[in-house]
Amino acid sequence: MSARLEVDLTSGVPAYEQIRTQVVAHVAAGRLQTGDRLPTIRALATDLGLAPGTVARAFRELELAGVVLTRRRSGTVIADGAPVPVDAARAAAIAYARAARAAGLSDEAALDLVRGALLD
Amino acid sequence: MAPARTGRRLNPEEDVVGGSILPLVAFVLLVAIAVAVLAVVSTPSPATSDGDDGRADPQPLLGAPSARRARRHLDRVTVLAWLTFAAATGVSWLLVLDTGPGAGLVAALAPAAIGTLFLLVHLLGEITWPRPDGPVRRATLRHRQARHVIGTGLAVWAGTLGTVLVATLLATGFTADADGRAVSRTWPAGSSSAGPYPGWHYAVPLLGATAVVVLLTGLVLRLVVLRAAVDGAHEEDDLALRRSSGARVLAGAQLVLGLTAAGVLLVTGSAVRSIGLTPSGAGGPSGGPLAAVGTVLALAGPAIGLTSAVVAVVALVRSGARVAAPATVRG
Repeated sequence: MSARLEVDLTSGVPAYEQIRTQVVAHVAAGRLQTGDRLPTIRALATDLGLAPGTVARAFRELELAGVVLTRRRSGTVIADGAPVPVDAARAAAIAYARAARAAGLSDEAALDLVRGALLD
Repeated sequence: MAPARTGRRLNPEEDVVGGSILPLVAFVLLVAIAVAVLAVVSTPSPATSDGDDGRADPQPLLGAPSARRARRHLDRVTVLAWLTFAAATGVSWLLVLDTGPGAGLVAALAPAAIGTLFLLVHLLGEITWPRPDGPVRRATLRHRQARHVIGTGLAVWAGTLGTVLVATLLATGFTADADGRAVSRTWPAGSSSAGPYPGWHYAVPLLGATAVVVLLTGLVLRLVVLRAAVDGAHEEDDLALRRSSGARVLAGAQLVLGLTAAGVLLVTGSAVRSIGLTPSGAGGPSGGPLAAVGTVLALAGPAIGLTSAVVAVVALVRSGARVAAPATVRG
Protein backbone atom coordinates (compact mmCIF):
# COMPACT_ATOMS: atom_id res chain seq x y z
CA MET A 1 0.00 0.00 0.00
CA SER A 2 1.45 3.36 -0.93
CA ALA A 3 1.53 6.25 1.50
CA ARG A 4 -1.25 8.76 1.02
CA LEU A 5 -2.05 12.13 2.52
CA GLU A 6 -5.46 13.44 3.43
CA VAL A 7 -5.85 17.11 4.27
CA ASP A 8 -9.13 18.33 5.74
CA LEU A 9 -9.50 22.03 5.07
CA THR A 10 -12.38 22.32 7.55
CA SER A 11 -10.20 21.04 10.39
CA GLY A 12 -8.86 23.47 12.95
CA VAL A 13 -5.41 21.96 12.40
CA PRO A 14 -3.44 23.95 9.79
CA ALA A 15 -2.90 22.14 6.49
CA TYR A 16 0.90 22.20 6.81
CA GLU A 17 0.63 20.57 10.23
CA GLN A 18 -1.66 17.84 8.87
CA ILE A 19 0.89 17.12 6.15
CA ARG A 20 3.77 17.07 8.64
CA THR A 21 2.08 14.74 11.11
CA GLN A 22 0.92 12.32 8.39
CA VAL A 23 4.39 12.08 6.86
CA VAL A 24 5.80 11.33 10.32
CA ALA A 25 3.05 8.75 10.82
CA HIS A 26 3.87 7.02 7.53
CA VAL A 27 7.56 6.91 8.49
CA ALA A 28 6.65 5.51 11.90
CA ALA A 29 4.44 2.85 10.32
CA GLY A 30 7.21 1.85 7.91
CA ARG A 31 5.26 2.84 4.81
CA LEU A 32 7.95 5.42 4.06
CA GLN A 33 11.51 4.22 4.48
CA THR A 34 14.97 5.72 4.36
CA GLY A 35 15.77 7.00 0.87
CA ASP A 36 12.13 7.03 -0.34
CA ARG A 37 11.62 10.08 -2.50
CA LEU A 38 8.70 12.36 -1.75
CA PRO A 39 6.84 14.30 -4.46
CA THR A 40 8.14 17.75 -5.27
CA ILE A 41 6.58 20.65 -3.38
CA ARG A 42 4.89 21.83 -6.56
CA ALA A 43 3.50 18.40 -7.45
CA LEU A 44 2.13 17.78 -3.96
CA ALA A 45 0.66 21.28 -3.76
CA THR A 46 -1.04 20.74 -7.16
CA ASP A 47 -2.43 17.35 -6.10
CA LEU A 48 -3.81 18.78 -2.87
CA GLY A 49 -4.99 22.06 -4.42
CA LEU A 50 -2.96 24.00 -1.85
CA ALA A 51 -0.49 26.87 -2.14
CA PRO A 52 3.09 25.65 -2.64
CA GLY A 53 4.09 27.68 0.43
CA THR A 54 1.89 25.46 2.62
CA VAL A 55 3.62 22.29 1.46
CA ALA A 56 7.02 24.00 1.61
CA ARG A 57 6.44 24.88 5.27
CA ALA A 58 5.54 21.27 6.11
CA PHE A 59 8.67 20.01 4.33
CA ARG A 60 10.80 22.65 6.09
CA GLU A 61 9.57 21.53 9.50
CA LEU A 62 10.09 17.89 8.58
CA GLU A 63 13.66 18.73 7.57
CA LEU A 64 14.28 20.59 10.82
CA ALA A 65 13.03 17.53 12.72
CA GLY A 66 15.42 15.29 10.78
CA VAL A 67 12.63 13.29 9.12
CA VAL A 68 13.48 14.30 5.55
CA LEU A 69 16.48 15.58 3.65
CA THR A 70 16.34 17.90 0.66
CA ARG A 71 19.03 17.39 -1.92
CA ARG A 72 19.53 19.44 -5.04
CA ARG A 73 19.57 16.43 -7.38
CA SER A 74 17.32 13.84 -5.79
CA GLY A 75 14.73 16.15 -4.22
CA THR A 76 13.19 15.47 -0.83
CA VAL A 77 13.89 12.01 0.60
CA ILE A 78 13.26 10.29 3.90
CA ALA A 79 16.36 10.81 6.03
CA ASP A 80 18.58 8.06 7.31
CA GLY A 81 17.87 7.65 11.01
CA ALA A 82 14.53 9.44 10.88
CA PRO A 83 13.02 9.20 14.36
CA VAL A 84 10.72 6.14 14.41
CA PRO A 85 9.25 4.19 17.31
CA VAL A 86 10.67 0.84 18.27
CA ASP A 87 9.28 -2.18 16.46
CA ALA A 88 7.14 -3.39 19.34
CA ALA A 89 5.35 -0.05 19.65
CA ARG A 90 4.85 0.09 15.90
CA ALA A 91 3.37 -3.40 15.84
CA ALA A 92 1.08 -2.49 18.71
CA ALA A 93 -0.04 0.68 16.90
CA ILE A 94 -0.86 -1.31 13.74
CA ALA A 95 -2.79 -3.87 15.77
CA TYR A 96 -4.68 -1.10 17.55
CA ALA A 97 -5.56 0.62 14.27
CA ARG A 98 -6.99 -2.66 12.94
CA ALA A 99 -8.97 -3.21 16.13
CA ALA A 100 -10.33 0.33 16.03
CA ARG A 101 -11.46 -0.11 12.43
CA ALA A 102 -13.04 -3.46 13.22
CA ALA A 103 -14.95 -1.76 16.02
CA GLY A 104 -16.18 0.90 13.61
CA LEU A 105 -14.39 3.78 15.32
CA SER A 106 -13.66 6.94 13.38
CA ASP A 107 -10.02 8.07 13.16
CA GLU A 108 -10.72 10.90 15.59
CA ALA A 109 -12.40 8.60 18.13
CA ALA A 110 -9.51 6.12 17.88
CA LEU A 111 -6.99 8.90 18.44
CA ASP A 112 -8.99 10.19 21.43
CA LEU A 113 -8.63 6.76 23.05
CA VAL A 114 -4.87 6.85 22.49
CA ARG A 115 -4.61 10.36 23.91
CA GLY A 116 -6.57 9.21 26.93
CA ALA A 117 -4.28 6.23 27.40
CA LEU A 118 -1.23 8.46 27.18
CA LEU A 119 -2.58 10.56 30.06
CA ASP A 120 -2.38 7.58 32.42
CA MET B 1 32.22 20.39 -76.26
CA ALA B 2 30.34 21.59 -73.22
CA PRO B 3 29.20 18.81 -70.90
CA ALA B 4 25.60 17.77 -71.42
CA ARG B 5 23.24 18.68 -68.61
CA THR B 6 19.96 16.98 -68.02
CA GLY B 7 17.52 17.63 -65.32
CA ARG B 8 13.96 17.37 -64.18
CA ARG B 9 12.41 19.85 -61.81
CA LEU B 10 8.90 19.08 -60.81
CA ASN B 11 6.38 21.79 -60.25
CA PRO B 12 6.09 21.84 -56.43
CA GLU B 13 2.32 21.66 -56.70
CA GLU B 14 2.57 18.69 -59.01
CA ASP B 15 4.90 17.02 -56.57
CA VAL B 16 3.15 17.64 -53.27
CA VAL B 17 -0.42 17.25 -54.35
CA GLY B 18 0.53 14.11 -56.18
CA GLY B 19 -2.53 13.66 -58.36
CA SER B 20 -5.62 12.05 -56.91
CA ILE B 21 -4.15 9.35 -54.64
CA LEU B 22 -2.97 11.60 -51.79
CA PRO B 23 -6.37 13.22 -51.12
CA LEU B 24 -7.85 9.71 -50.96
CA VAL B 25 -5.17 8.54 -48.52
CA ALA B 26 -5.69 11.65 -46.36
CA PHE B 27 -9.45 11.09 -46.36
CA VAL B 28 -9.10 7.42 -45.34
CA LEU B 29 -6.63 8.42 -42.62
CA LEU B 30 -8.92 11.06 -41.17
CA VAL B 31 -11.92 8.69 -41.24
CA ALA B 32 -9.88 6.02 -39.42
CA ILE B 33 -8.81 8.49 -36.76
CA ALA B 34 -12.35 9.84 -36.42
CA VAL B 35 -13.64 6.30 -35.84
CA ALA B 36 -10.87 5.71 -33.25
CA VAL B 37 -11.69 8.96 -31.43
CA LEU B 38 -15.40 8.06 -31.36
CA ALA B 39 -14.54 4.59 -30.06
CA VAL B 40 -12.38 6.13 -27.34
CA VAL B 41 -14.87 8.69 -26.08
CA SER B 42 -17.78 6.24 -26.15
CA THR B 43 -15.96 3.70 -23.97
CA PRO B 44 -18.44 2.52 -21.32
CA SER B 45 -17.92 3.49 -17.69
CA PRO B 46 -17.26 0.79 -15.10
CA ALA B 47 -19.72 0.40 -12.28
CA THR B 48 -19.10 2.20 -9.01
CA SER B 49 -17.88 0.02 -6.16
CA ASP B 50 -17.30 0.78 -2.49
CA GLY B 51 -14.20 0.02 -0.49
CA ASP B 52 -14.23 -3.44 1.06
CA ASP B 53 -13.54 -2.24 4.58
CA GLY B 54 -16.34 0.29 4.83
CA ARG B 55 -13.93 3.23 5.09
CA ALA B 56 -13.86 6.21 2.77
CA ASP B 57 -11.42 4.52 0.44
CA PRO B 58 -10.68 6.04 -2.94
CA GLN B 59 -13.10 4.72 -5.53
CA PRO B 60 -12.31 3.19 -8.89
CA LEU B 61 -12.04 5.65 -11.71
CA LEU B 62 -15.39 7.12 -12.76
CA GLY B 63 -16.86 5.98 -9.44
CA ALA B 64 -16.22 9.39 -7.89
CA PRO B 65 -17.91 12.46 -9.42
CA SER B 66 -14.59 14.28 -9.68
CA ALA B 67 -13.16 11.32 -11.59
CA ARG B 68 -16.10 11.28 -13.98
CA ARG B 69 -15.55 15.00 -14.53
CA ALA B 70 -11.85 14.37 -15.25
CA ARG B 71 -12.66 11.64 -17.77
CA ARG B 72 -15.19 13.92 -19.50
CA HIS B 73 -12.59 16.67 -19.66
CA LEU B 74 -10.05 14.30 -21.20
CA ASP B 75 -12.55 13.11 -23.82
CA ARG B 76 -13.60 16.66 -24.73
CA VAL B 77 -9.97 17.69 -25.18
CA THR B 78 -9.34 14.61 -27.34
CA VAL B 79 -12.31 15.35 -29.63
CA LEU B 80 -11.43 19.05 -29.86
CA ALA B 81 -7.77 18.28 -30.59
CA TRP B 82 -8.61 15.87 -33.44
CA LEU B 83 -11.29 18.19 -34.86
CA THR B 84 -8.58 20.87 -34.91
CA PHE B 85 -6.26 18.37 -36.61
CA ALA B 86 -8.88 17.62 -39.29
CA ALA B 87 -9.83 21.27 -39.83
CA ALA B 88 -6.19 22.34 -40.04
CA THR B 89 -5.53 19.54 -42.54
CA GLY B 90 -8.33 20.85 -44.77
CA VAL B 91 -7.19 24.45 -44.49
CA SER B 92 -3.56 23.56 -45.25
CA TRP B 93 -4.71 21.54 -48.26
CA LEU B 94 -6.54 24.59 -49.62
CA LEU B 95 -3.50 26.74 -48.90
CA VAL B 96 -1.26 24.37 -50.86
CA LEU B 97 -3.67 24.39 -53.81
CA ASP B 98 -3.99 28.16 -53.65
CA THR B 99 -0.29 28.96 -53.26
CA GLY B 100 1.82 29.45 -56.35
CA PRO B 101 5.60 29.02 -56.29
CA GLY B 102 5.85 28.47 -52.52
CA ALA B 103 3.42 25.53 -52.42
CA GLY B 104 6.19 23.00 -51.77
CA LEU B 105 7.33 24.75 -48.62
CA VAL B 106 3.73 25.23 -47.43
CA ALA B 107 3.05 21.52 -47.95
CA ALA B 108 6.28 20.55 -46.19
CA LEU B 109 5.44 22.65 -43.14
CA ALA B 110 1.75 21.72 -43.05
CA PRO B 111 2.05 18.62 -40.78
CA ALA B 112 4.13 20.53 -38.23
CA ALA B 113 1.68 23.45 -38.27
CA ILE B 114 -1.25 21.05 -37.84
CA GLY B 115 0.63 19.30 -35.03
CA THR B 116 1.36 22.59 -33.29
CA LEU B 117 -2.36 23.45 -33.23
CA PHE B 118 -3.19 19.91 -32.05
CA LEU B 119 -0.65 20.20 -29.22
CA LEU B 120 -1.84 23.69 -28.26
CA VAL B 121 -5.35 22.27 -27.73
CA HIS B 122 -3.85 19.58 -25.47
CA LEU B 123 -1.80 22.25 -23.68
CA LEU B 124 -4.99 24.21 -23.03
CA GLY B 125 -6.64 21.00 -21.83
CA GLU B 126 -3.88 20.38 -19.30
CA ILE B 127 -3.94 24.00 -18.08
CA THR B 128 -7.70 23.75 -17.50
CA TRP B 129 -7.55 20.25 -15.94
CA PRO B 130 -10.08 20.02 -13.05
CA ARG B 131 -8.51 20.97 -9.75
CA PRO B 132 -9.47 19.53 -6.37
CA ASP B 133 -12.15 21.71 -4.79
CA GLY B 134 -13.66 19.63 -1.99
CA PRO B 135 -13.02 20.22 1.72
CA VAL B 136 -10.97 17.02 1.98
CA ARG B 137 -7.99 16.70 -0.35
CA ARG B 138 -6.03 13.51 -0.98
CA ALA B 139 -2.67 12.86 -2.58
CA THR B 140 -0.13 10.11 -2.84
CA LEU B 141 3.33 10.51 -1.37
CA ARG B 142 4.87 8.56 -4.23
CA HIS B 143 7.17 10.59 -6.45
CA ARG B 144 5.67 10.68 -9.93
CA GLN B 145 8.04 10.52 -12.87
CA ALA B 146 7.62 10.83 -16.61
CA ARG B 147 8.45 7.14 -17.09
CA HIS B 148 5.39 6.21 -14.98
CA VAL B 149 3.16 8.17 -17.34
CA ILE B 150 4.60 7.89 -20.84
CA GLY B 151 4.38 4.56 -22.65
CA THR B 152 7.86 3.33 -23.58
CA GLY B 153 6.92 1.86 -26.96
CA LEU B 154 5.14 4.97 -28.19
CA ALA B 155 7.90 7.26 -26.89
CA VAL B 156 10.62 5.16 -28.56
CA TRP B 157 8.69 5.13 -31.85
CA ALA B 158 8.16 8.91 -31.75
CA GLY B 159 11.84 9.41 -30.89
CA THR B 160 12.87 7.16 -33.79
CA LEU B 161 10.70 9.13 -36.20
CA GLY B 162 12.18 12.40 -34.97
CA THR B 163 15.71 11.05 -35.33
CA VAL B 164 15.05 9.74 -38.85
CA LEU B 165 13.53 13.08 -39.84
CA VAL B 166 16.38 15.19 -38.45
CA ALA B 167 19.07 12.87 -39.85
CA THR B 168 17.44 12.90 -43.30
CA LEU B 169 17.10 16.69 -43.32
CA LEU B 170 20.75 17.14 -42.28
CA ALA B 171 21.88 14.69 -44.96
CA THR B 172 19.79 16.32 -47.68
CA GLY B 173 20.82 19.78 -46.52
CA PHE B 174 24.51 18.96 -46.97
CA THR B 175 24.07 17.11 -50.28
CA ALA B 176 21.75 19.56 -52.05
CA ASP B 177 22.78 22.09 -54.68
CA ALA B 178 23.66 25.63 -53.66
CA ASP B 179 20.06 26.82 -54.10
CA GLY B 180 18.87 24.20 -51.60
CA ARG B 181 16.07 22.97 -53.85
CA ALA B 182 17.68 20.34 -56.06
CA VAL B 183 20.33 17.63 -56.08
CA SER B 184 22.84 16.94 -58.85
CA ARG B 185 25.10 14.18 -60.12
CA THR B 186 28.03 15.12 -62.31
CA TRP B 187 30.36 13.08 -64.49
CA PRO B 188 33.06 14.16 -66.93
CA ALA B 189 30.74 14.28 -69.90
CA GLY B 190 27.75 15.87 -68.24
CA SER B 191 25.52 16.18 -65.21
CA SER B 192 22.04 15.47 -64.04
CA SER B 193 19.89 17.46 -61.66
CA ALA B 194 16.52 16.79 -60.05
CA GLY B 195 14.19 18.55 -57.69
CA PRO B 196 12.44 19.38 -55.54
CA TYR B 197 14.96 18.12 -53.00
CA PRO B 198 14.93 19.05 -49.31
CA GLY B 199 18.12 21.12 -49.21
CA TRP B 200 18.55 23.96 -46.74
CA HIS B 201 15.77 25.94 -48.44
CA TYR B 202 13.32 23.34 -47.08
CA ALA B 203 15.42 21.74 -44.34
CA VAL B 204 15.98 24.83 -42.17
CA PRO B 205 12.26 25.69 -41.78
CA LEU B 206 11.45 21.99 -41.36
CA LEU B 207 14.07 21.55 -38.65
CA GLY B 208 12.69 24.63 -36.87
CA ALA B 209 9.10 23.37 -37.15
CA THR B 210 10.13 19.92 -35.92
CA ALA B 211 11.86 21.50 -32.92
CA VAL B 212 8.65 23.38 -32.09
CA VAL B 213 6.60 20.16 -32.25
CA VAL B 214 9.11 18.23 -30.10
CA LEU B 215 9.38 21.00 -27.48
CA LEU B 216 5.61 21.45 -27.33
CA THR B 217 5.13 17.69 -26.95
CA GLY B 218 7.62 17.66 -24.08
CA LEU B 219 5.87 20.58 -22.40
CA VAL B 220 2.42 18.98 -22.65
CA LEU B 221 3.72 15.63 -21.35
CA ARG B 222 5.37 17.44 -18.43
CA LEU B 223 2.04 19.05 -17.59
CA VAL B 224 0.39 15.61 -17.75
CA VAL B 225 2.89 14.36 -15.16
CA LEU B 226 2.48 17.40 -12.91
CA ARG B 227 -1.27 18.00 -13.13
CA ALA B 228 -3.49 17.59 -10.08
CA ALA B 229 -4.41 14.05 -9.09
CA VAL B 230 -8.03 13.06 -9.61
CA ASP B 231 -9.58 13.56 -6.21
CA GLY B 232 -11.13 10.43 -4.79
CA ALA B 233 -9.72 7.98 -7.37
CA HIS B 234 -7.33 5.11 -6.75
CA GLU B 235 -3.70 6.03 -7.36
CA GLU B 236 -3.53 3.39 -10.11
CA ASP B 237 -6.62 4.84 -11.78
CA ASP B 238 -5.16 8.32 -11.66
CA LEU B 239 -1.99 6.97 -13.24
CA ALA B 240 -4.07 5.20 -15.90
CA LEU B 241 -5.74 8.49 -16.75
CA ARG B 242 -2.34 10.18 -17.04
CA ARG B 243 -1.04 7.35 -19.25
CA SER B 244 -4.13 7.73 -21.40
CA SER B 245 -3.51 11.47 -21.77
CA GLY B 246 0.16 10.85 -22.57
CA ALA B 247 -0.74 8.26 -25.21
CA ARG B 248 -3.26 10.60 -26.87
CA VAL B 249 -0.70 13.42 -27.03
CA LEU B 250 2.00 11.13 -28.38
CA ALA B 251 -0.41 9.57 -30.90
CA GLY B 252 -0.82 12.96 -32.58
CA ALA B 253 2.81 14.05 -32.17
CA GLN B 254 4.22 10.87 -33.72
CA LEU B 255 1.70 11.13 -36.57
CA VAL B 256 2.94 14.65 -37.33
CA LEU B 257 6.58 13.52 -37.24
CA GLY B 258 5.72 10.45 -39.31
CA LEU B 259 3.88 12.42 -42.01
CA THR B 260 6.69 14.97 -42.21
CA ALA B 261 9.30 12.22 -42.44
CA ALA B 262 7.18 10.43 -45.05
CA GLY B 263 7.02 13.53 -47.25
CA VAL B 264 10.73 14.28 -46.87
CA LEU B 265 11.74 10.70 -47.69
CA LEU B 266 9.36 10.50 -50.65
CA VAL B 267 10.63 13.75 -52.17
CA THR B 268 14.26 12.86 -51.43
CA GLY B 269 13.89 9.37 -52.87
CA SER B 270 12.18 10.61 -56.02
CA ALA B 271 14.92 13.17 -56.72
CA VAL B 272 17.77 10.74 -55.98
CA ARG B 273 16.14 8.05 -58.13
CA SER B 274 15.70 10.53 -60.95
CA ILE B 275 19.39 11.52 -61.10
CA GLY B 276 20.40 7.88 -60.72
CA LEU B 277 18.30 6.83 -63.71
CA THR B 278 19.61 9.58 -65.98
CA PRO B 279 21.69 7.94 -68.74
CA SER B 280 25.33 9.02 -68.48
CA GLY B 281 26.29 7.83 -71.93
CA ALA B 282 28.71 5.15 -73.07
CA GLY B 283 31.60 4.73 -70.61
CA GLY B 284 29.97 7.02 -68.06
CA PRO B 285 29.52 6.05 -64.39
CA SER B 286 26.56 3.89 -63.52
CA GLY B 287 23.76 5.58 -61.61
CA GLY B 288 22.26 2.23 -60.64
CA PRO B 289 23.17 2.28 -56.93
CA LEU B 290 21.88 5.83 -56.61
CA ALA B 291 18.64 4.86 -58.29
CA ALA B 292 18.31 1.89 -55.91
CA VAL B 293 18.85 4.12 -52.85
CA GLY B 294 16.31 6.58 -54.23
CA THR B 295 13.75 3.81 -54.77
CA VAL B 296 14.21 2.52 -51.22
CA LEU B 297 13.82 6.02 -49.77
CA ALA B 298 10.77 6.73 -51.92
CA LEU B 299 9.13 3.50 -50.73
CA ALA B 300 10.19 4.01 -47.10
CA GLY B 301 8.40 7.38 -46.96
CA PRO B 302 4.83 6.15 -47.54
CA ALA B 303 5.54 3.05 -45.41
CA ILE B 304 6.53 5.26 -42.46
CA GLY B 305 3.52 7.52 -42.98
CA LEU B 306 1.15 4.57 -43.10
CA THR B 307 2.74 2.97 -40.01
CA SER B 308 2.40 6.26 -38.11
CA ALA B 309 -1.29 6.41 -39.00
CA VAL B 310 -1.83 2.84 -37.78
CA VAL B 311 0.13 3.58 -34.58
CA ALA B 312 -2.04 6.67 -33.98
CA VAL B 313 -5.27 4.69 -34.33
CA VAL B 314 -4.01 1.81 -32.14
CA ALA B 315 -2.71 4.22 -29.46
CA LEU B 316 -6.04 6.05 -29.39
CA VAL B 317 -8.07 2.86 -29.04
CA ARG B 318 -5.75 1.52 -26.34
CA SER B 319 -5.88 4.81 -24.45
CA GLY B 320 -9.66 4.44 -24.27
CA ALA B 321 -9.45 0.87 -22.99
CA ARG B 322 -6.89 1.94 -20.38
CA VAL B 323 -9.36 4.13 -18.51
CA ALA B 324 -12.38 1.88 -19.08
CA ALA B 325 -11.59 -0.79 -16.49
CA PRO B 326 -11.29 -0.09 -12.75
CA ALA B 327 -8.02 -0.80 -10.94
CA THR B 328 -9.49 -3.81 -9.24
CA VAL B 329 -9.74 -5.73 -12.50
CA ARG B 330 -6.87 -4.15 -14.42
CA GLY B 331 -3.74 -6.23 -14.79
